[in-house]
Amino acid sequence: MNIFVCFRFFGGDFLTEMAISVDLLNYEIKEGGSIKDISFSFTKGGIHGILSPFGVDASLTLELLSGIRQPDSASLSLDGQAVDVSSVDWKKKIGYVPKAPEFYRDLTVYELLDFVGEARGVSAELRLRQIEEALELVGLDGLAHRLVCRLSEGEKKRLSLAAALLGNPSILLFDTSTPEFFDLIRMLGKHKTVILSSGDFEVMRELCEDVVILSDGALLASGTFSELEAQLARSEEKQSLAEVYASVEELSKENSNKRSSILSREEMGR
Amino acid sequence: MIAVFHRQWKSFAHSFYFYGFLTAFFFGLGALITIFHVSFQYANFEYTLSYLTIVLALLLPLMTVFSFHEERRGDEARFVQMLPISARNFLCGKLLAMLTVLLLLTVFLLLIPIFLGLWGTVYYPSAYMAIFGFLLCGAAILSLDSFLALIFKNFWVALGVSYAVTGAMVVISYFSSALPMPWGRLLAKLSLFSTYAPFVFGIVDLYAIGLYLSVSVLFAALSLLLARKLWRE
Repeated sequence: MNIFVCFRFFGGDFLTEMAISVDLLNYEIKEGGSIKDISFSFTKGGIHGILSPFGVDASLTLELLSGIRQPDSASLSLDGQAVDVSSVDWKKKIGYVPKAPEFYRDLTVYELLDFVGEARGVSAELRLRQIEEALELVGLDGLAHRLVCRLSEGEKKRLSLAAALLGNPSILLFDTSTPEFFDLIRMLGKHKTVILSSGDFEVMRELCEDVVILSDGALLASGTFSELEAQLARSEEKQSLAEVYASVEELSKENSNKRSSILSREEMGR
Repeated sequence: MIAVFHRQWKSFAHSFYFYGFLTAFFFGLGALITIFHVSFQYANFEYTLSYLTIVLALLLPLMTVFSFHEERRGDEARFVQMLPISARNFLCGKLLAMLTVLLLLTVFLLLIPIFLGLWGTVYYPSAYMAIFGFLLCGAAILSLDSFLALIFKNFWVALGVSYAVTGAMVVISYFSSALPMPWGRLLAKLSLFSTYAPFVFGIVDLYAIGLYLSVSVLFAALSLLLARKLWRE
């Protein structure tokens, strides 16, 4: 990974968007459970987190924001302008890195990125440059002509990030918290609005400026880590934020597992 | 739309189904030319085309079902839905790629009357009118098959239903006269193969042209509605 490539790659479009605000996000999971009236907002730029026990609700929220799943209701705004998550305009503004990325299996890495770039409306000349730079940034520059189906899981995640960067979107939705991406996420957070989802409290604390904590489909708390710690200190609770989150995680363990398997089944049935 | 079009052509280039489709089409064409023009020594390419539409109808479901089911598998569906591609552009890209295949096959067919003309007298207006009819009929079948491919999630069910519908139309075109009068006539009017008959005799049949265009537009529109539902737009 080369920091100079990163600056060159994102040079022109540095933080042109303002805050992203989500109001009353609702999603009913068919076999039971839901996301209920979640509202939060993130400022432009930086790394923001969505944290939930085992990452189940956090991943689901990111899927809803990416337009892969359609929320039952939500009011989403970017820079004060209302946006529709399923619209082409919104999808051009975001890059989504899913937890388990899958692609067309018969294409090479380069062919796949070329398709993504073309779909994102990047001109042929610019596409060639952006693909080379994105591959260099994620460390896949030697694998441009390898078939996607022959990539390892880690390489697929890197490819997914490279694909998400094409077209220079201002918002990155990152549904993975593998340590190998930490440096890259930090670097990208200086140039874009990165929204990270995870179930790991320590990862969130290490990477994110502020966090939205969800449990059983509802909003538990939101703010910067210092604000949340201060709120806890003011309350009668004598535990640290990490300890409180661990208790929440323990309490919702069974429910989270159930929701996770329901969501997987729902996804397979689609 | 252009991205989907390019992607579809790459997919064809890597696909066993597509090569199977081409092989079977040219085998069918070769066999019909051998029968009609070599064995029976007919100069009318229209006869060959009337059977070639049936060969095409039997092969098109392979191409349409293959094309659409790539994105009906869970993983690829999620990948494509992440991208800024609308349902309309997705469908138009796919249909355009398949229409281009049909168009290229038609361009190849345009050469055959000239080739046959080297050995005898060919009535070109009639032959080319039949080729024009072949293109329109192919587009209508393509549109219908695309709609069926989008309805059913399971590859084999979609293929089976497409063959059942095509088979029914072929049967109707041959046996409509055996059915009770009004029904037989109505079904023959609606069968894409019965309607091809005037083209074989070099007749510019406006009803047939209208039917083919209507079926093409109707099922393309219905496919768009289905694609939008799948895209949740």
